[in-house]
Amino acid sequence: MTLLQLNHVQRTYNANSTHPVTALKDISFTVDRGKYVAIMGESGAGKSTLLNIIATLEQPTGGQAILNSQDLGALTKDDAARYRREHLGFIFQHFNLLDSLSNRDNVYLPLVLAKTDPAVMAQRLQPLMKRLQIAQIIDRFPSEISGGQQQRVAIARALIAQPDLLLADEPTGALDSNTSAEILDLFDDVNENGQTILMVTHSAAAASHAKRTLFIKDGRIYHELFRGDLTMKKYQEEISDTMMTLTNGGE
Amino acid sequence: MLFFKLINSSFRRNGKAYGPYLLATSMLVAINYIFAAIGVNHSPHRLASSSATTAMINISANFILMVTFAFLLYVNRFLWQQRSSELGLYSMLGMTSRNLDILTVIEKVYLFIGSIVCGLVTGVIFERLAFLGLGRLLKVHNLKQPWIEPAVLGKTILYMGGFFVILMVVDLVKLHRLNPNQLWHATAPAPKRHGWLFKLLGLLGIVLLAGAYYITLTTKPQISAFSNFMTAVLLVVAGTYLLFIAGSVIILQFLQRQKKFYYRPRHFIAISGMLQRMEQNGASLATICLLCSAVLVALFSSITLYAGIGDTVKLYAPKDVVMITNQPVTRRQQGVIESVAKNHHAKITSQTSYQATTTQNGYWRGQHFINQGSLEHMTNKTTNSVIFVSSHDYRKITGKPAHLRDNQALIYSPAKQHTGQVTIAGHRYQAKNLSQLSFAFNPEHSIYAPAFVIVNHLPAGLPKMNVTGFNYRLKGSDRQHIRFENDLQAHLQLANMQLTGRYNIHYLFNSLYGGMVFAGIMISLALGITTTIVIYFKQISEGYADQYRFKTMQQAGLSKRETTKSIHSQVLMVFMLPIAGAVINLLFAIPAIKQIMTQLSFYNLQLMITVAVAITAALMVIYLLIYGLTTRVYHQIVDNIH
Ligand SMILES: Nc1ncnc2c1ncn2[C@@H]1O[C@H](COP(=O)(O)OP(=O)(O)OP(=O)(O)O)[C@@H](O)[C@H]1O
Ligand SMILES: [Mg+2]
Repeated sequence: MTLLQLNHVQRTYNANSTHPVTALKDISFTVDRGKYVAIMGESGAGKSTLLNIIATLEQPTGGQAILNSQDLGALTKDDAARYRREHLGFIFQHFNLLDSLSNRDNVYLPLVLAKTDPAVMAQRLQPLMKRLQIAQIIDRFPSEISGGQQQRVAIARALIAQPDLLLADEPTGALDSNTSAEILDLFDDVNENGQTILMVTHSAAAASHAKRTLFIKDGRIYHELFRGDLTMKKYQEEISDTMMTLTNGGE
Repeated sequence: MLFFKLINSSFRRNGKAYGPYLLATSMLVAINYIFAAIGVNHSPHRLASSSATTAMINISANFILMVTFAFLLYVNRFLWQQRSSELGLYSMLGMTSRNLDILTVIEKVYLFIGSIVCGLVTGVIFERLAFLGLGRLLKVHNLKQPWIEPAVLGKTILYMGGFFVILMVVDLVKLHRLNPNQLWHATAPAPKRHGWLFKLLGLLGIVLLAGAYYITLTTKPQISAFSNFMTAVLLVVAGTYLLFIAGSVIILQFLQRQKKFYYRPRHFIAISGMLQRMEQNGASLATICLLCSAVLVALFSSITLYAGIGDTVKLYAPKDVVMITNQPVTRRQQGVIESVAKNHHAKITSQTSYQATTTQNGYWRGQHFINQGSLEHMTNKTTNSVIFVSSHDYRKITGKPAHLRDNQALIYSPAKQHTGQVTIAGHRYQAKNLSQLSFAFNPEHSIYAPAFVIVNHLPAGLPKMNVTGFNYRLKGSDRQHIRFENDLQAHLQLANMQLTGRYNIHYLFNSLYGGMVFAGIMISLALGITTTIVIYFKQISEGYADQYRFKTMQQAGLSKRETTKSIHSQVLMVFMLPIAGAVINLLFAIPAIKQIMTQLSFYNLQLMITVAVAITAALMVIYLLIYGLTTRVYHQIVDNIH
C-alpha cells in the first residue's frame, strides 16, 4: 500500500532574485508502507531539501507530495504543524534535543503537544526505553549524556507518537563508527516492527541497511538500487560503486 | 599589522555588542566625571547646607563609581562569550597563547581609549548643563564653574584605567585556564540538581521579605524609624536575591511535579523554559529588580520632599518671622524690630502673639498621652508632642469663638486624630477634632508632629512660652530678605531656636532637598543606563540560545506562531518580573517613608501618592520602551535561522 507519493516535486530558492537556486528539479517516487528507503547524493544535491518538504517544514514550488492521501503542499502552516506531530517522526544529525527539558520530557514532547494523558505517556515510553536502552539516563539532561545516547533519546522521541513515517537526516553523521552501527541496528529493528523509514545519508554502510536506495544528482533521481537477496556486504559495495560513478559524472 | 587587523574585523563583526557597550561605558565615564567635578566645585560651599549637600554629592559619586565597576565586570561576561569562540578558533589555527594575550590586551586598550575619549568629551559638555540644573534646584544663581577640572579629569582616567586593567586580568586568567576546545565550544552548563539547603534558602527568602514588609508597615514615627527602614532595606536585598535565585526555581519545580498540570502543551513549554531562564538569570534579575527599586525609592523620597518644601516651611514658620520668647515681646524689643525693619525698608504687617505651653513630648497609649516633658527627656518610645493654647487666644487669632466647656478640648492633629475621652497632662477632656488651624506649627523643628490642644485654661504646672509672629514686605532679592531676617535675629539677640525666618528656612530646605533631587536623578540616570545595557545583552544572549530552541520545537510539531508566542511570553515574563518586584517593593516602602517624612514635618499624603504613581508610570514606560527596542534585536537574531 502506498504511503508516500511524490509527483514531479520542484523546489526553487530565491525565485525572484537574480540568482535563483533550483535545489530540486523534478523528483517522483513512491514509498510503500513498512519500507526502509535510503537517499544518497553529493553534498548540495538537494537531499535535505527533499526531506524538509516531506517533513512539511518547507513547501514545494512545483509538483505534489502526498502522504497518506494528504497533499502536503495544501496544508496551512498551523495545519502542517499539527500534521507533523501526528504523522511524522524526525531524527537529525545533531540530535536536536531541547537543553531545557530532561531526556524524559524531550521524549514526551510530541505527546504533550497532542494533549496525551500523562499515564498513557509513561505507558508508551516503557517498551521504548527497554528497546533503546535509555532507562538509566532517562531522567538526566541532554547535556549530561553522550552523543550516541542523545541520538537514542531522539529516536525515542521520534517513535513515541507512533508516526506513519520516520524521517532521518544523516542520523549517524555525528557519531563514531561503533555507535553508528548500534544506531543502524536499532533502525533495522524498528523497521522489522513495521515502521516505515526514509533516511538521508552519506555513508554507503548506512545505506546498505535499507532495502532500497535512491540516488539524487542535480535535483533529479539519478539511479535506484534494491537490496533484493544480496548480502549486506555485497549490497554496500554496489552502493559505493554507484556513488563513485555518480561523483565522477559517468553514466 | 595582523593583530590590529584581526581586532578591527572582530569589532566590525560584533558591532551589535561593542556599539552599545561603548555607548554605555562612555555615558558612565561622563556621569562619573560630572559628579566628581561638581564635588570639587567651590560655589555650593557657600550654601547654608553646604556640608550636607557636598557630603551627599560625594557619597553619590562613590556609589556611581561602584555601580560602574560592577557593570563593567558583569557586561564583560557577555563580551567574553562572544570573544571566546573567536579566540578558540585562532588558537586551533595555531596562535600561541602569547598571541591571544596580545589580542586581549589590544582589545581592552581599544575599549578603554574609546570610552574615555567619548566619555570625557560628553562629560565636559554636559557638566555645565548638569551644574546649571543643580543651581536651579538649589535656587542659587551665581554658581561659578570652570570649563574643565583637570584634576578630576586625571582622576577619572585613573579610575577607569584601573577598572579596565582588572577586566584585562580577569580575561587573561580565563584564557589561560581553558584549552582551545573549551574556548571553541562554550556550551551551556547542565541544569543543576538542588538539595534541601537550596529549598531552605528559598523559604528564607520569603521569610526575609515578609519580615521586611512587616517592619515597613508597622514603622512608627520614632527616632528609630530610619534605622528600621535601613534594616528593612537589607532584608529586602537579601530576600529578593534568595527569592529570585532559589524561590522561583522551587516553585517551578513544584509545578513540574504536578504531572496533570505540567504535561499540558502551554504549561509544559512555559514551565521548563522559565525554569531554565531563572536558573541562568536569577541573580541578574534580582539585581535589576533591586536597582529599579532603588531608583523608585530614591526618586520618590527626594521628589516628594522637594515638592513639599512649601508645606514644611509653613509648619516651621507659619508667619514670615516667628519668635518664641519666655515673656511677651517688650516695648524695647518692639522698637528693635521696627528700627531694623526701617533700615531694610521692610514693612511689617499682621503681627499676632499668643501664649501657649511649651511643646510637651511623649506618646499615646490608647487615649492617654504619656507626657515626658521637654525634648531632653525623650526616649525611643517618643512619637508625639502636644501644645496647649487657650480658647481665648484661639479666638483672638482666628476670630472664631471656640465654644468650649471646661472639660472639653479641640484637638488639631495632622498625623493622627484623637477624639472622645482623652487624658493629657493629668487632665481628662472630651475632645473634638479640629481639621484646620492656621497658626499650627512645629516650634522645636523636632521630628515629633505637634498636636494643638485648645482648652479654656492652660493646665497649671506646664511651662509657658510666648509666640509672636508677623509678615513683612520687602522689595528686593531673596538674599536681601535673608539678610533682614538675620539682622533681626542678631539685634534681638535671640538664639536660632527662638527666631525662625521663612526665607532662611526656605533657603535651607531648597539647598538640602535640591541636592537630594539632583543626586537622585543622576543616580537614576546611571542605574538606568546600566539596566538598559544589561537588558540588551541579556536579549542578545537569549536570542542566540533561542534560535536553536525555535528550530527544534518546530520540528517536534509546534507551529511557528505557537513557538513565537510561547518564547516571547517567556521573555516578556522574565523582563516584567524585576519591574513588578520593584513596584511591590516601593508600595511596601511607602508606609515607612511616610513615617520618616512625618518626622520631617511633611504630611501631604495626596502629593505622595501623585509622585509615587507618576514615577512608577514613568519607569514602566521607559522600561517597556527599552524592552521593545531590545526585542527588535532579539527578533533579528532569532528569525535569522533558515
Ligand atoms: N534556504 C536556502 N536558500 C537558498 N538556497 C538554499 C537554501 N537551502 C538550501 N539551498 C541550496 O539548495 C541546494 C540543496 O541543498 P541541500 O541542503 O538540500 O543539500 P544536501 O543534499 O542536503 O547537502 P548536504 O549533503 O551537504 O547536507 C544547495 O545548493 C543549497 O545551497
Ligand atoms: Mg543536508
